[in-house]
Amino acid sequence: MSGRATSLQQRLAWRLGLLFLVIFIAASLMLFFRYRSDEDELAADRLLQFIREVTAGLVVGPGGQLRVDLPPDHEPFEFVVRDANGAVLVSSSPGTEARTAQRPDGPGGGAHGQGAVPLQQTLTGAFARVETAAGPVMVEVAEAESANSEEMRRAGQESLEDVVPILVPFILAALVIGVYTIRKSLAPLAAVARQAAAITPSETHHRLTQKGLPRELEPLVAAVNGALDRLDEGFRRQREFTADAAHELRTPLAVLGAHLENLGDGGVAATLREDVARMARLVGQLLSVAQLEALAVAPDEAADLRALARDVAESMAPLAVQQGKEIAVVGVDAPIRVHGNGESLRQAIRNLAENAVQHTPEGTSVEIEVTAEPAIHVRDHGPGVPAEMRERVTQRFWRADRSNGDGAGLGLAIVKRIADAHGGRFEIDDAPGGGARFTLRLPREHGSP
Amino acid sequence: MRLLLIEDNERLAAAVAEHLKAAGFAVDRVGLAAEAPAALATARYDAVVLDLGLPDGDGMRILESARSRGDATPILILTARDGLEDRINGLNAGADDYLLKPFAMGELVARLKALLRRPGAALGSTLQAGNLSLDTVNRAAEVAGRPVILGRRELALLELLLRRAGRVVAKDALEEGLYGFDEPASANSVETQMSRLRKKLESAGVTVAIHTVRGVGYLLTERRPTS
Repeated sequence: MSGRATSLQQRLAWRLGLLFLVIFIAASLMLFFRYRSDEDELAADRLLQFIREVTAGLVVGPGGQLRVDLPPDHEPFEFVVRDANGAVLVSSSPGTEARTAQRPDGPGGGAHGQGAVPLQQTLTGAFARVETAAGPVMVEVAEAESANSEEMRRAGQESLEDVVPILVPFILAALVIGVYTIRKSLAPLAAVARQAAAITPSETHHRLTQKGLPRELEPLVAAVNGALDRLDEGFRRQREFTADAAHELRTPLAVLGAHLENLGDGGVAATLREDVARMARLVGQLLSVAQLEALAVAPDEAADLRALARDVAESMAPLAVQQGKEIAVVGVDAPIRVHGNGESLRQAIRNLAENAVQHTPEGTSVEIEVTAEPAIHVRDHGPGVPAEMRERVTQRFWRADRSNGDGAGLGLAIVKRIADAHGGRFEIDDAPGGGARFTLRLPREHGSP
Repeated sequence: MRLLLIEDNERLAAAVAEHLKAAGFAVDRVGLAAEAPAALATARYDAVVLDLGLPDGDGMRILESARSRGDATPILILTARDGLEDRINGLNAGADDYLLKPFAMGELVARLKALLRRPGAALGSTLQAGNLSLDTVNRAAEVAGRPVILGRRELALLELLLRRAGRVVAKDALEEGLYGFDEPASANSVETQMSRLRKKLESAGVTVAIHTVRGVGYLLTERRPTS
């Protein structure tokens, strides 16, 4: 077999077609032979009739000569009349005796009787012993050769005429039903395939429906669902572990942080405090990543981008002010409704704002702009992100400067993941007038114009 | 001011208590949910710091039972869980604020002080920041002990900012604060009042700054020593 997948439909069509061809031929042959044997019985009757006609027409001439007078409208047949020794006395035409002589018991063979005897494959004949005034003679008759083949032709034609009108529509109907049944039975497979295609690591709770599927496919679908159950369980444990681990790390970090703060403002304590803060951020981001793997935005979830932006700016402002920087919300001064999960969008905006506050120089401001697109842009006045690095900064654990990075390089990867989960887009470009601009484009709230 | 700290982790509780004492609070500690009701019944606390993940029960129960008894003591929740639901449930159950572990001690102290600066709370009548103080009962402001003459609307704004010192006060909230006054609040009335308030305070030599968070609101902080 070639690498091409076989089509069930095609195979069934071929095999059914073949089966019907065989049935068609067999039925035709059967009918053909049935007609033939019917014809044979009729032929036997006719041959007896011929013998009676020849016997009735036997006339002994004045010189003892035999003659056969037949009615002018007699059916076409051939005959031979022989004497007791087998010598030909009279025949319908020269050469007839050569053919009739080939009957199995042979002339003068002592056999007496009458009936249909196949002579050659195409010729049927009969013979009878008749007493005449000139003594006993043997009358042999045979169908004219032309009549015989005519009969064959008629039998063939009649059998075809009987078979074709019945079998051909039947075959076509059977083919159509077969193909239609397969097509109809397998149609739910397409739906199942669509369901299977929609399963992602974040939507492992979906299962394939068995409803409407042919029973023969149920074991396959059940097995796939079983495999999904086991995968789902694995994913769930993985997520739980990450979440538990992050959770369990928080309290010891809080203890460590508290002790360090009680050490006062000394140089080493200050450095260690920064390290603990960094560690805490990493733990928080790891927890976010674990939670985001399971993020699925429900169809009816909606959020207001402007409210989220204000929220984030409100919580970030004290830190920005402390560092001599500003944060502002600009753009449309009206609610911007989007289809999305508010808490994860807040996190995305917060990550962008944190990143921007970190990179914008002292004395400059970070602007969170809300546009009606709907989109949110976060711009800073820092060095910007070089074009060749824009793809990489959204990868996990990637940092521009590994030796001196803050955080784990997960912040922008988390934003990208949130954008993807919403069917939105995350873009990085240069802000007009310098600095970086991060854009999060989101779908409109369902049902809004 | 007296605080009750309900936290099962001995080491964290000790460190937090030490820091809060250094910040001027008297701190009582309990480590089990079962001990909390007795502690709350025997003493009058100005605020409670409550860990949600206690070994013998959910801290949320303590919160709910305190609120159902009509106890209005400010309660700040500590948790290692940061799901949105935890926060919403906690705030719905009557918590006044929410802090995620690990947290900076300065943040905890600032949040507690903000709770205590609420009307009726321990620090609610006289609000202070830097060299600025506001007597909310007598409606009088002082900078470095010298009175500053402020209008009623300026006093109202200053009170709102001082009660949430260190945190942003949304412009909507400030507008609402001005709503009760006879004049209709025109579009930029908050801005107008705020710039007047700033000028008066600055000319009096105040050590706090009122920052504008464009599109959001205002933020009162103590001035950084360096600037």
